[in-house]
Amino acid sequence: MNKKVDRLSININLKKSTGRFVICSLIGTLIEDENGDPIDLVLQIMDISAIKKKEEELQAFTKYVEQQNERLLNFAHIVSHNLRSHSSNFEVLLHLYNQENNEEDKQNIVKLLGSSSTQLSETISHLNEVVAVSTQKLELSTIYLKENIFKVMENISTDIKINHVDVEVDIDQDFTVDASPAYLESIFLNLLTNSIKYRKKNVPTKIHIKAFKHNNHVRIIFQDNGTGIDMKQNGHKVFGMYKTFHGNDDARGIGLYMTKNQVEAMGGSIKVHSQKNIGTTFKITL
Amino acid sequence: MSKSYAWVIDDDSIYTFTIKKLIEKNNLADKIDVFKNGRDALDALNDKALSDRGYPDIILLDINMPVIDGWQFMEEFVNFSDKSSIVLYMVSSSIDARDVIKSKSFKEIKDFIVKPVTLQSLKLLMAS
Repeated sequence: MNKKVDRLSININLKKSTGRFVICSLIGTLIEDENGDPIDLVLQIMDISAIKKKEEELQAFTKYVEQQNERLLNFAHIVSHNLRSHSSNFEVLLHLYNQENNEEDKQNIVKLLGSSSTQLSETISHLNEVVAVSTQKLELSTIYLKENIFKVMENISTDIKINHVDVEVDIDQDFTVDASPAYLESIFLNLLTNSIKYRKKNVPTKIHIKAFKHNNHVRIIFQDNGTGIDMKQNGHKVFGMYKTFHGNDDARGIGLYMTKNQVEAMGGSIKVHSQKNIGTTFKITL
Repeated sequence: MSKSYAWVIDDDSIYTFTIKKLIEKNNLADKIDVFKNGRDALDALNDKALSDRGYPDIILLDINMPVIDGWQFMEEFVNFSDKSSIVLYMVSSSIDARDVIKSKSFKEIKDFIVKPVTLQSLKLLMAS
C-alpha cells in the first residue's frame, strides 16, 4: 500500500454466480492514521448495470430526437420551398394576366394558372404522404419476407414480364422480419419499379434480393444491374425529395424519399451503393 | 438601360415562361435563352460556336434542378475562363439559411434572390 493515489474509482465487469457479467463501480478510499500514514483501504463495489442501461437508453433517445429534429427541419424547408415555388408562379402569372391585353395570351396564362394549381395539389398530396409516414403510430408485425416481395411482384407482373426482368429472390420461405406490411410492400414496389425504369436497354435486367440476420437485425440487400447513379455527383441527392438526376420526364423524385422515410419510421436505415453503368445496391437494415 | 443577353436556367417551365414574358414585355433584354437544367447550360457555355454568338451578360440560376443542379453548375462555372463578363444571380424558392450562406461562398454569385421574381426586382437585376 503506498500513497501514490489517495482514492480510486473505476468501472469493472464482474461475473456473477449465475455466470452473467454485470458492470460494477469499484471505489477505493485510503484510510490514514493521525500521522498521515496509510493504515487501511476501504473498497466499495456497486452493481451499476441498471444505471448504465438507463444511460445507454438516454443516449439512444437523444440520438433519435436529434435525427428527428434534423428530419423535421429538412421537411420544413422542403414544405417552404415547394409551396413557395407555386405561390410565386401564381403571383407572377396573375401580374402578367392583369397587364396582358391580347385575348389569346390571356387564355394561355389562364391555362398555366390551371397547371400551377394542379402541381400545387400534387405537391400537397406528396407532403401529406410524408406527414402520414412521420406521424402515424406504426404497428409492426412479423412478416414472411419472401411472401411480401412476391405479392409486390405479382402486382407489377406485367411490367416484369414485358421488360424481361429476371428477379431472383434468394430468401428462405420461413425467413421473417418485424415490419409494417404496407411500408415493406411500398419499399419493394419503389425499388423494383426504379430498377425497371432505370434498366440498361442493351442487356437483360437482373435483380437480386437476399436477406439475412445480422446482430439482432435483418439486413436486406437489393441489387440490380441497371444504369446506376454517379455517386460522386449525385450520391448526396439519392434520398432527397424532388431530386431527380437522370433527366427522365416521368421521374418525380418522390419514391426514394418516401422509401427512406418509411424505413426510418420502422426504426431502420437504408444505404445505397452504385456505379454508373454497373448497377445499384440498396442495403436495408431493420 | 443597357440591352443585354440573358440566360434563365430553371426546370420550372411556368417560372421560365413568366420571366421571359416579363423581360419581353418590358424590354429588359435583347435576347433570352432558357435551359431546363445545369447540364444543358454548361454544354452551351462550353460550345465553341457560342463565342461567336456571344456569352450571356446575365444568368439567373435555379438551385433545385434535375441532372445538374445549381451548385453543381457553379462548381464548373468557377473554372470558366470568360466568367468575369457574366453577372450571375442565384434564384430559388429556398429560404434555407444554408443555401444563402453557400451562395456567399462563391464570389461569382452576385446575390441570392428568393422567388417570386417580380417586375421590380427583375428591373433592378437587369440594370446591374
